[in-house]
Amino acid sequence: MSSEQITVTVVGPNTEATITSGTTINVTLGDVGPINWSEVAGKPTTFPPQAHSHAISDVTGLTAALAQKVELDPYGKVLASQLPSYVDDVLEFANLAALPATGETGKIYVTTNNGSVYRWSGSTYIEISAAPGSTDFVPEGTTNLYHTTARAAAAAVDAVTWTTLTGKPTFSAVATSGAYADLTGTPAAYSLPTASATVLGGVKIGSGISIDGDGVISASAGYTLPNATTSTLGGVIVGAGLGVSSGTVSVTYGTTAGTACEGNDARLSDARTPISHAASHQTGGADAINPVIVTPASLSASQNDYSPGTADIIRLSSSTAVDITGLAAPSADGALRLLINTNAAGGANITLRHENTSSAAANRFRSVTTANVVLLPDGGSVTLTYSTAISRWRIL
Amino acid sequence: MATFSALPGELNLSLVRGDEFTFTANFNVDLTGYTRAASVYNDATNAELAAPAMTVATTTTGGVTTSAVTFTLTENQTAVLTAARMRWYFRWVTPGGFTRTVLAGIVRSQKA
Repeated sequence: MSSEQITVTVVGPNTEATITSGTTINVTLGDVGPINWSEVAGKPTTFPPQAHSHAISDVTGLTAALAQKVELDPYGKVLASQLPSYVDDVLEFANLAALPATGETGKIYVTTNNGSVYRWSGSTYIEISAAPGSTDFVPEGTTNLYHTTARAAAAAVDAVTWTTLTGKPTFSAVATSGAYADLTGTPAAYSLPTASATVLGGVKIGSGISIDGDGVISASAGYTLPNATTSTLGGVIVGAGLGVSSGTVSVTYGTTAGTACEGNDARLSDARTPISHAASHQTGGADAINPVIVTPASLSASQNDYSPGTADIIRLSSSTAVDITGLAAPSADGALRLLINTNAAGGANITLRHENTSSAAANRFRSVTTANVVLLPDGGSVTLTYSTAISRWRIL
Repeated sequence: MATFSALPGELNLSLVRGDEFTFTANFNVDLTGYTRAASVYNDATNAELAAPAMTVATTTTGGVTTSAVTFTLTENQTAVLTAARMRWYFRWVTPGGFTRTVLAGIVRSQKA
């Protein structure tokens, strides 16, 4: 930057480089020296190419490249002097006498008067063998034979066999033995349908029936009627107390042994003495009658109209002390119930409330002392009997 | 007229404290895109005392663009210019990032 020059021109009364307010100065930056390209303001951002020309010599290698190109005549043809020699290897002359006295090897000379072709051997012209022109003048060889119609036909016949033929139809196999089994498409064997009530057909001969060789059906002699059972039709024998007449079976009634009793038979009187009741129904007997016992779910709250089920013995239990104000009434008068507190010793009491109105009247308990009855744990019990006369359970 | 041979051009300012001080410098440079700074500072401590306000107006005549920069110190700014030795400078930063201090000089102030 040391090369930069600045000229400060102070306009006004000041003639020195000291100015006062209101002064205008002109500052001219002179030779500012090399300018960095990035400092140039307003420079274009693109530099599109423009048409221009160059001398051939300005292009490297162009002169040498042009020297290797053929030159064209005014008509755009290649000059003959620049053609290679093999371009005119075939030369035509009017006749043999017109050929040059001394020829050139590698060239072909054609005499137009007769179409003969010659080459220069180095000392004379030698005619190049003419083509035969027709196979009529070429004898047949041993390998490549001439085509003849007869040969073509023979070859065709030899080549064609049934196997090599294409497009031939397909023939199905046919029977050759004459046996019926060889035939296909034969109808299925006829099967006579079984006869039924509505279908005409064949029948089978059962037992007791025979058929002779002429197809005549006959009943076999000595047919024995089978004995009747609950599932087999057959003959029956009339037993005691029954009679049979003209095939009609009848009951034999009477008042003596071996006869059937009728409704007005004196033997059906109610005055018959009943036998004593079986002792086996007693407790400990073989057919003892046991009381019905229920064990309802443990109670966790007091119960009104309690209905543990119909049973003779009700084994009660509870998780806490509860009251029962009534028990579902039975249908029979005198029904007995035994209630037992099965809570473990030290457990909760279960109390039956006397005439407590929380239960329906017909379900309430009535105590002789009008006091509530407390069933202590570990077996405390009470017996009840129902009275339809007062519609209450009486506490016994 | 005074001619200076190198940057910055030495240009002294003589002002009256408490008066507005203004002058205009015409540059034969298009300052479009330049950033500028000017400062009056204590030559002993380098502490800046005042920053002159600047306005720039560019004019193009005959394809040449010039820029007129007007510097202004307000009354309040000149009132505090009491240091024994004070200088000022004006510099710019070209769009290419080159910083040049163009003008600089002594500031002399006197009582009104």
